[in-house]
Amino acid sequence: MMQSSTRPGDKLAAWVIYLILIVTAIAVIYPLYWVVLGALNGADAGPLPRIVQ
Amino acid sequence: MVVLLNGKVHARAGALLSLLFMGLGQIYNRQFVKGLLYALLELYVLFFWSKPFVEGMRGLITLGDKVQQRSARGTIIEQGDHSIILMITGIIFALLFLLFIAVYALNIRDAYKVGAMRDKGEKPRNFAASIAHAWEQGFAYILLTPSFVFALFTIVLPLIFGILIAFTNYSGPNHLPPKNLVDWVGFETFTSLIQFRAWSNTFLGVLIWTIIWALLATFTTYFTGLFYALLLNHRVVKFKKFWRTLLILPWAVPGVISLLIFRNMFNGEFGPINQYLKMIGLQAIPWFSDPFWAKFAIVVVNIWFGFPYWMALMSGVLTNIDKELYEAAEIDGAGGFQRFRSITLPLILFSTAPLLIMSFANNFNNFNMIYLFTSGGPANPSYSYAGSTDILISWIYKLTLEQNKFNMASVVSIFIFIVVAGFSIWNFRRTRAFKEEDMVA
Repeated sequence: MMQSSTRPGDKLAAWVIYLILIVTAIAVIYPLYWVVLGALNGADAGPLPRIVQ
Repeated sequence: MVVLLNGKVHARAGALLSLLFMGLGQIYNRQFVKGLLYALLELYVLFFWSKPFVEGMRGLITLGDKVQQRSARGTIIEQGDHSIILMITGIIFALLFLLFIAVYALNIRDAYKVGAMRDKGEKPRNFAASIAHAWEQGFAYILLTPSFVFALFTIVLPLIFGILIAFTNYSGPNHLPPKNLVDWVGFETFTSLIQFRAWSNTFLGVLIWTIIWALLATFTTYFTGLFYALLLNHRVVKFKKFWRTLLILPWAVPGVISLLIFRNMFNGEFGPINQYLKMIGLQAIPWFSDPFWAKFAIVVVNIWFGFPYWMALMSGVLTNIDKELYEAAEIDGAGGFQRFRSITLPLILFSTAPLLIMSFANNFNNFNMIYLFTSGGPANPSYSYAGSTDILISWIYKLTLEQNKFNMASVVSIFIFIVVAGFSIWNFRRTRAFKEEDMVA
């Protein structure tokens, strides 16, 4: 019952929470993106230097 | 005296005879097959194992006395003793001897018990009945014996070996077998670690950073995990499963790979992080050449690695908290923070405290994180064989595999063992979560 009711301030809370979640998701995914790129590049001595260069 | 002896005459005689020679007590108690088997075991050990045992013990005590002989050209003329192999052989024989002593003690105890039965007027069991009795009474011990013996040689043996190394001068370049012999030096390495400034400086510096690191690594991941668990548990969040899956991804990728990627991402020259900083007009940060920034980067990267575990764990705890508690608190007029402080936090702490302590012990020894990310760097000129971000375990790695200072590494290992074992014991004894008692303080 209590869970489903909408309260004042919920909209702002939702904005803040989603903003944090999206920023965190980017921070989580970004290094993994390099992992995938590295794997696709197939560099032997570590993928990143080759990608960046 | 006669009265005293009268009660246990067979028991004492049997025990005494078995003490003199295995099996004699059993033969005295008319358990001939069992007695014979015990006697044969002792004879076998005496004939075939006494000489190797004495040699093993001599090797353990002397650590060898024949030095390797080489010609002027450097070819080996005589191999000489290998102190470390002698030490390991000695420990193996010492453990085997302890096992033999345990069997010997069993033989005495058995003779005493059977003697006591005879003293009470009971007839001693025949061999088949003895076997059946042992199987029935000592079933658990019989089943546990193989694993105990296995543990003795796979866990206890390396532990003893590691500890004993601390009392030798096993270190490069002058005491590395088989070229050189290793000697017992008592507590010399321990005193060197405290007395010599080069060592004590390194030890203290590395120890302080290890403690700071373990605390930071534990608490930052713990509270970040808690923060995201609370966030995902909030009623306004939709697609909770999606977010949870997304945030748990760092946990799913092998740490070694991610760490190497992070190492490149933080690269001072061409790492993307510094490139982005430059792009927005900021200065590049010397991530791996400045001790402070290196430590900062390690902690930040560790949060990335560590928070999903705590988030997943706490999400589970949060969903199990009774909603009525919150409703009751709300009726009583408690605000959001008050509900968190008085309901959520205590319940989460109660469930996760043992893991929190073990996580501290784990981070104390978090070799991968340090060695794969910074390799202990940047270099610190006032340290011996350690960099600014080295923790004790990565310092040990460098001392052993890079510098051959096995004795010093062993001393540091003993210190780590004491700290981690202390935490573990404290954890299991004091944490209330392990006790089935009321959790109200």
